[in-house]
Amino acid sequence: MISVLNAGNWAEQYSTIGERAFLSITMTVVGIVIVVFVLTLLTVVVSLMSRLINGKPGGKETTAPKRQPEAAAEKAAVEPAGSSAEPGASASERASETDGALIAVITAAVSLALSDSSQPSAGFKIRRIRRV
Amino acid sequence: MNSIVDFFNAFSETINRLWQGSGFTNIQLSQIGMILIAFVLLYLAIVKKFEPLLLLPIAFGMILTNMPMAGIINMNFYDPDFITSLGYPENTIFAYREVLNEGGLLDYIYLGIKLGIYPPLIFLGIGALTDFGPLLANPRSLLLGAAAQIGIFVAFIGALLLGFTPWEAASIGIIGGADGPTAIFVTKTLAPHLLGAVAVAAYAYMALVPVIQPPIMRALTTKKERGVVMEQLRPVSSTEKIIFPIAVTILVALIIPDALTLVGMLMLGNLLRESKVCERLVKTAGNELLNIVTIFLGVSVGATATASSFLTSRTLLIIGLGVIAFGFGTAAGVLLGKLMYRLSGGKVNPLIGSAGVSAVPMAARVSQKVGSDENPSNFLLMHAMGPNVAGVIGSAVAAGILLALLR
Repeated sequence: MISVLNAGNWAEQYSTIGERAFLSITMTVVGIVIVVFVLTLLTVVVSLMSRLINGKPGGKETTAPKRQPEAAAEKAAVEPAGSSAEPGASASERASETDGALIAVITAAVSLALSDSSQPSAGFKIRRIRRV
Repeated sequence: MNSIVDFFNAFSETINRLWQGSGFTNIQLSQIGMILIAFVLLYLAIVKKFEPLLLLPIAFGMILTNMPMAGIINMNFYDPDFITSLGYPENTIFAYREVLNEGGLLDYIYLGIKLGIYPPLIFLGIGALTDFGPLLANPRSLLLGAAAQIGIFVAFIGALLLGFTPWEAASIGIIGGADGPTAIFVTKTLAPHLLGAVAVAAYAYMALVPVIQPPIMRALTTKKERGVVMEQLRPVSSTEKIIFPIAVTILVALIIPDALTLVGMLMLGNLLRESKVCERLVKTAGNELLNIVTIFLGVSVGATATASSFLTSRTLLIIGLGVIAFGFGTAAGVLLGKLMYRLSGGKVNPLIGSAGVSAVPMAARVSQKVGSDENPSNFLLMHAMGPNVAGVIGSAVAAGILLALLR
């Protein structure tokens, strides 16, 4: 095609609409095929490169929302239960934290009540509360 | 008394000569028309902020070149017939003796385009500013970048059937790549007389991407497809980012040597960036050098838009074919995106396909905007950046193919 198209005689060789359509479609097909081939090859090269470097397919998309629970599960598997505030193991902890806050409030209230009386503040300690 | 009369005669003669040599008596109607067009471009650049970094220098270059008697650039020094008439050997690309002896300022600056220096330097700067991470995280983006190049070839067919030569048709088609430097690089080689019209059309359409693309994107996709939320991209290691530009350069050089000038400089800029050991060079390539070359490129492209080359019916055809190229490129990208949507079981949002037309980062922003219009919690920007930077590589490859076939 390159040798066919020269500025001197191309108009004579492709004088009709049909001939020009043939020329343009031929060049278009050649052009698109080469563009797609080169970029497909690059896709393959990038995927292979990613696989070699990371040990997994480059085209595979992983998500942060997925990774986080996976990481949490791995963490839960290697750490003793209750050693962290992971969502799955925190129901009882949250209850004990609430109780602790309640105990602190009751202690402060009792302490205040005692300080208002004539008696000297007695040493006391609220160890446990019971919900009714 | 005579001396006073002589004085007034000499004075009036001098004034007359100055008047005769001024632009007022030498300006032609077509030049006034070109200056008015330049005013419109200035308005678009300054008030509407349409690609102002390039449209403004282009518009000012148009004013400079259409001023009569200034001689700031002499486009006939680059005309093959004129060069031949001066006795230069065949295929001499410019009348170098005349440029050196009689050239104006823009004649020297224009050599950067004529010799193909500015577009690759722009690509160097773009490479230094580009993060190929989204593309590396999702290599299929490259296919979307390939699909969007179909607009180039559709416009090529249209131009050829409308009576343009194959060399002119290729220069017009490359507008569809939505990549200004690539369009200039191809046009200065294949059809330098169309440089002004092609450059103005390319940059005007790049600025109009947010207007041209959304109706096509909406027409080709369903509400459900536009609302697809894509999964987060994986992180990309610095090793991958360093190897990528080297691999692309070698691969492209081996397959399409004509694309190496643009792709090679793009990848050099990117390697400078990703190596993280050339901070000063990255800063220079992405800022100072890029800005300097942009000024030179814009002014000298504008300077080629003389009345005789620009004010023709062919310019209107070029502008019309340019929008067809953009439209088909967008449509092809979206359609391949739809195919990926089907093949992936609904995981790919087809809207990212339109970003394959290059126009970084405007086309990616349009994908994000259209996607978030459908689903406000949808963030497609990073997903669209993959096809977007793939489009830069794709348009450079397409340019290389056209040069290889037609040079």
